[in-house]
Order: sequence, then C-alpha cells, then structure tokens
Amino acid sequence: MKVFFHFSVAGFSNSYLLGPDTGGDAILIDPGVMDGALLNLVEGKGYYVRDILFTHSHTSHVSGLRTIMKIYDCTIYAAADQIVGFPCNRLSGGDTIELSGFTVGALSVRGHSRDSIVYVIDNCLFTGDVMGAGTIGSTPNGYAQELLINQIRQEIFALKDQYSLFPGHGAPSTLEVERTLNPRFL
Amino acid sequence: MFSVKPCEIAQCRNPALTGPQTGDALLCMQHVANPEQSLEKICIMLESTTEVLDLCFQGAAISDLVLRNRQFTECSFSRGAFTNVDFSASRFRLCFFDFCTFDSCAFKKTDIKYSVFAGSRFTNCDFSSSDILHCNYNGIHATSSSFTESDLYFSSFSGSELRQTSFVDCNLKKVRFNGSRRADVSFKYSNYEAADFGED
Repeated sequence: MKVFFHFSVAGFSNSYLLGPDTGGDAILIDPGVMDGALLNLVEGKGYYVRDILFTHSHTSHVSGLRTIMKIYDCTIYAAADQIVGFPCNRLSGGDTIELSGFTVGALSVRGHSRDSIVYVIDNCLFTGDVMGAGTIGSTPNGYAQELLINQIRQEIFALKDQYSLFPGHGAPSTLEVERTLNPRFL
Repeated sequence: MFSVKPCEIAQCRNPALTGPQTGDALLCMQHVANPEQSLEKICIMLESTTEVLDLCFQGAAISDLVLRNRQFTECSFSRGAFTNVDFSASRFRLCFFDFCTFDSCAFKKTDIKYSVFAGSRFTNCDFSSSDILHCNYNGIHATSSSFTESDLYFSSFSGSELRQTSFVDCNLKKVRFNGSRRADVSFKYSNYEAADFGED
C-alpha cells in the first residue's frame, strides 16, 4: 500500500490518497479541495479515484467533492446519507468493507461531529478531526468533549497493534505517541 | 507504506524487520541469526541506495554513517538509536522516528514532510536550513541542537523540553509549542508571533 498526502491551504486540511504500489484503483480520504496538485498526484502515480471516504462532513474536508465527481466515477462512503448533495454509502462504527483492494474498518468516534468516523486501513488510522498530534478535535461544549475523550479511549486506544495516525489537520503521529504524550490523556 | 508485522518467534512482541530489501523471514533484530551481520547488511544497503522505501527497521542502533542526499519514503525507524549519522540534504516523506535517540546527528538542508520524531531525544543535532513541514516533534528533549534558518510550517513541538536550542530566523507559522519547557532557546528573527505558545 502507498500513502500520499495533500495539504489544502484553503482549510489547512490534509487529504490522503491510498493505492497499490503499481497504480490502479485508489481511495481518496477527505478531499478538502481538488486542485491541480492533487490531480497531478493522482494521475502522475497512475491511479483512478474509485472510492472516496469522508471522516466527517465539515466544509474543509468535503469541498473538493464536486470537482472530483466531474473527473472520476467514484463511490462515496461516510457516516451520512449525502455529502454536498451526492448520495453516500452510509457507514457505521464496526463496519468493514473492501475498497480498491483494501480492507477498510470504520470506528464511530463522536464528539467533534455526530458523523465522525475513523478509518482503519492496514496499520494506518485516518482520524479526521477526532484527534491529531497532541490534540483532540474541537467540541461545542464540555459534554461533547467528555464524549470525545471517552470514545477515543474506548475505540482508538483499545486497538492492540502499532498504528500510524494520519489526522485531518497538522502533522501525523502514532497511536503509541498519542497514548504516551497527548496531554488530554495524561 | 512500511509494514508492521510481528516477529515470527513465539512470545516475541517486537516488530519484524520488513521491506523490499530485507528478505522473506519475519524476524526482529533480536532474533535474526546474526544481529551484527544483519545490522551491517542493512547499513551497507542504506549507504549504497539513494532511495529507501517502505523499510521497517525499528529499534536499530546505527552509528557513524553518512546518509547524505538520500530519499526516505514511508519508513519506520522507531525506537532507534542514531549516533553521528549524517542525513544532510536528504528527503523524508511519511517517515517515523518516534522514541529514538539522536546524538551528534546532522539533518542540515533536509526536506522533511509529514514525519514523526515525537518522544525522541536529540543531543547536539543540526536541522539548520531545512524544510520541516507538518512534522511531529511533540514531547522531544532537545539539547544543544539547532533548527536555525528552517521553515517549520505546521510542525509541532508541544510538550517538548528544549535547552540551548536555536530557532533563529525560522518560519514558525502555525507551529505549536504548547506546554513546552524552554531554557536558553532563541527565536531571534523568527516570526514567533505566528506560532502557538498556549498554556505557557
């Protein structure tokens, strides 16, 4: 599996492109923008965006969808019925699906938003705005913050193996680093 | 992406050495037939290759190696110990160096993106004149080290302990230093007002 990142200055957000080593069908996660750089990345590596995963439906993570749907014939997955008017295959926590040759697990971790999903693919976690390097997602109130912290503990920190952690904003991390160093959990 | 597979020896919880140049056996550095020979073999591979891809080489102790002008992509060197290793002018993408120790290592003029150094300990290390974007240095301990004249956009040093470490003439836009402890640290000529020093 190859993982490529793309940074959008518009929403300061990260998108991730996942595909096999030799090109072919690929998964795009949280396309906050579809610009020339991302298109060049997809095409340059010989990929076709077959599946799009959304970690949640906030603007900085979904704004590239309209453009992508004009270029690629792809299927959308999220914990929602539709994203910017396009119908989605609705996912729930605990679901496992096969996409573009990869096994994709979904963990429901609410608090930042009601439709937040963390994707588990191989030894990688795509956390969206649930958590990042040394941070957790923003929440509207103290109740939501407690919910988010508890759900991170129950759903993410319960994972046993080594995982790399790719957030929706900022630098990557690892599950072990966050367990050990994230001040929200010390 | 590097693959994290457990060592095939029963009860061993260490990750196996994996990657395109490492052979088929799934063994960690403790359980390979001849650890010294294996380490030497990997070091020779690192020295002779310009592009290092998908390598999982965790817990390695590497010293006195010149790895200038290399490209490291999607590799893990977590929990490694690096002494007097010269990575200058190298390029790192999605590389993991968490919980490592670096002593007298050079990263001058490096191009590092989306990589993790969190929880590591740096002594006398030089990251000057580098592009270090979207990198995770949370919880590091850095002593007598330098990031001078580097672009650190969107990198994070939260919870770090920095001593006699220089951030002179750096781009600190969206850089996080939340909860860091600093002694004899210089931000001269840097746009430190664009960084986040919350909870100081």
